Amino acid sequence: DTAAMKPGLLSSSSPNGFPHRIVEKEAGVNMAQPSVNITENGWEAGSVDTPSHERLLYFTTCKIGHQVEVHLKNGSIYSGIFHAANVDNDFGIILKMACLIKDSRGAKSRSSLVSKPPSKRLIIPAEELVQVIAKDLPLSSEDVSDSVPCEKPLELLTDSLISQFYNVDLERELKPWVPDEDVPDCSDLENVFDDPWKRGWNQFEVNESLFGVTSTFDEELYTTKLERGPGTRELEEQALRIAREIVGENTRDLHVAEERGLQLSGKFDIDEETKYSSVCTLNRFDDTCYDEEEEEEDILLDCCNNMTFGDSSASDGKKKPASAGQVYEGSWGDSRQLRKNKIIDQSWSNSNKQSKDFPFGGSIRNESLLGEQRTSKFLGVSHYKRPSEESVSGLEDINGDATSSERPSFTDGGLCPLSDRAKSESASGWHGSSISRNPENSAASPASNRPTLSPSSSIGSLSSEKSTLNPNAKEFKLNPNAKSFKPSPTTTRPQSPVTDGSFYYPPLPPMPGLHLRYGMGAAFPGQQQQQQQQQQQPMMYNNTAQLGPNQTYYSPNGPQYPQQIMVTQQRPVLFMPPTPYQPEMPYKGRDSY
Amino acid sequence: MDPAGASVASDNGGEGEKFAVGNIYSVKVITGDEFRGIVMAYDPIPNFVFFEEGSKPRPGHMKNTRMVNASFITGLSYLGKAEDPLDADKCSVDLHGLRAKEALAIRQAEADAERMGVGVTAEAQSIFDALSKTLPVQWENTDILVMKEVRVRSPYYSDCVFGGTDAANNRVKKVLDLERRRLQLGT
Repeated sequence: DTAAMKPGLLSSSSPNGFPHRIVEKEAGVNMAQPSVNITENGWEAGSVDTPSHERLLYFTTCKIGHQVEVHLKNGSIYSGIFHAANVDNDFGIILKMACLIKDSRGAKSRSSLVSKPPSKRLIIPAEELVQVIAKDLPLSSEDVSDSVPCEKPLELLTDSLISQFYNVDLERELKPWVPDEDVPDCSDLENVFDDPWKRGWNQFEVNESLFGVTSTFDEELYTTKLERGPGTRELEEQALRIAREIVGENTRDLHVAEERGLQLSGKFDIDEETKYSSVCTLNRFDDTCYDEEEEEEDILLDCCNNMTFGDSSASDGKKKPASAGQVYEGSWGDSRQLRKNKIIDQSWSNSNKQSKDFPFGGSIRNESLLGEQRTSKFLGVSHYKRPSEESVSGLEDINGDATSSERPSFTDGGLCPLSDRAKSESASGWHGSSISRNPENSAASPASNRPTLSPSSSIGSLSSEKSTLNPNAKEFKLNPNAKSFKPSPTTTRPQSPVTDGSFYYPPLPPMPGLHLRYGMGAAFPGQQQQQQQQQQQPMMYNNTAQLGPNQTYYSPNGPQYPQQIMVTQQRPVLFMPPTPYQPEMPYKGRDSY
Repeated sequence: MDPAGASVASDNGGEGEKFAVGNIYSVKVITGDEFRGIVMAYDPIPNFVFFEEGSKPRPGHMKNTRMVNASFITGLSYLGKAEDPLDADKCSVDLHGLRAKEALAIRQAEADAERMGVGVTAEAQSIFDALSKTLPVQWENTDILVMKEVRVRSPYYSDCVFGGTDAANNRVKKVLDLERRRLQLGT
């Protein structure tokens, strides 16, 4: 009878059932206004209720709202939004906002024709209709729960969609850039990605020759003055050597490796983002040979976090303390936050940050931290591990024996001047701090030290979450010959057998709350008093000077004179050779940069 | 109901039932257009066939479709058979969603229509579109009104720019020249 409600489709009949004529009309509404009666309940049986009809009905319904192209018998083509179809009848259709895009003469509207405004509503009778083309029409099949899939694309609004970029730019064929002919060939500059330090480009020279500009740079304006003395030459050599070692070290960090010109992993599919982004992802570290399972990700993350936040942890993702060639580039001492640091190696720096003073020497060692691995307390002071022993794991040294070795435990290179002191009480075993040594009494009383050390110098870690004691650390072996630590009650500076000048220690006023960047930490020269003063404060010494190629160390404590405390880090960067040598000082592999 | 006018199709190009679901055909229509498609639905009464375009079903639920008035098919060759990609059980239609989609499309189309000049050439329209990227423009008959004060008249060269402050005027001239150059329309 009267037109039944057809879901989604217009009822073409007028109330008395007489099918109205559908004519093509521009704008405006036809007399028999098609009403779109939509029932939400699904299909109603129509006059023709066959499965094939239903299928067609279904597909036709899916087109509602979709942009379609309609070809008419006369050859013209319209584009518009599909609105309705006469499904009860002959399938004539209605479009909204229809534009003529090709007229019956075959001319394309856009090219030469004068444009016409779109028709708000265009009715196309079936007898004119040849085909209706709908591209990318969502027909629900899979994963359509309650919403038509076509809605999903709407949710994914891209910028172009939003800004509705109508006119696609004329595309040009892209050609690789070639330099202009008349541009001088600066082949030097082109080797940008080669070893940066080998380029042979000295900007100062060039500036001077080209512009007569001389540099007024005075290193001492920016950093503490190096005291040079008799031991200078040796120290310099040593430093150079260490620097070379560092630079030549293996690293897992992709960025560092690239800087050093090392071809990292065999994975050549590392994309530029991973290679050059400063966003640290797990993939950034070459994990092809990473074999430690424990806390891999945590370590990497910590590392990344540390790097981001300037923690002093080692940049290198790997946690293995003992592998030679591991780079601990931690930014030393700079730990505003003590990130939960599970990495043992990092602990040292962390310990620096936190401890109020670094008790030097074993007495400081917190037994609880030693925990599983240590059996006895660390006595006395200087227990440096013999150079032979380890490598990077200075930690091992510390953790390990406190032999009164001749050198600072931490590194391979060792500090030579320190070695002199070594014997005496310097604390080597300072785990965690890369330190130095405090001759004799560096640290205040053990007692006072102890508590401070504990949070920081963890042998294993700063994290309270789990024991992160370095499983690889050597066991502590009591060295009966070690001199016991005797904190000196009065002296502000321990007597140092080392000659003046062999240690460089720039004086700095004690500043509470500063970090010592390179782990200079507490070990500060046994300034008893100072240390005591500082007990309440985290012994953080801020390394305000830039410790780039010009490394120096600072003693945060008061009056200084070259003291023996050599604060070193895993890689003792002792001091950098003075300016002339600068060019040789390559990137030190600090991640902090 | 036989549509008045040309009714050409008479081929029964297919094997089995004509326009059986899944049949693949090469189709030619009265306008000269040709394509290949897979039958998805066919209703003999209105005589319309719903095809998925292509000779193989496209994976996923989005397809390029053609609804063809079978009366206007002038050539049909059967190419083979394909699986019915439509899983009838999972088919549902969200009418509400469709209406919303339509409303949105209409709004967008209306916005687009605003931008279209009436009675202007395509070249004029491209110029308009190019200017609109960086300047607020609107049509005023066949003039392009920039920033509501500078007028660009046909044929839209920089000597057709009138009005506005000197600065604005010069700016429009400059942008017009550049855009023309970029569009390679010649200045």
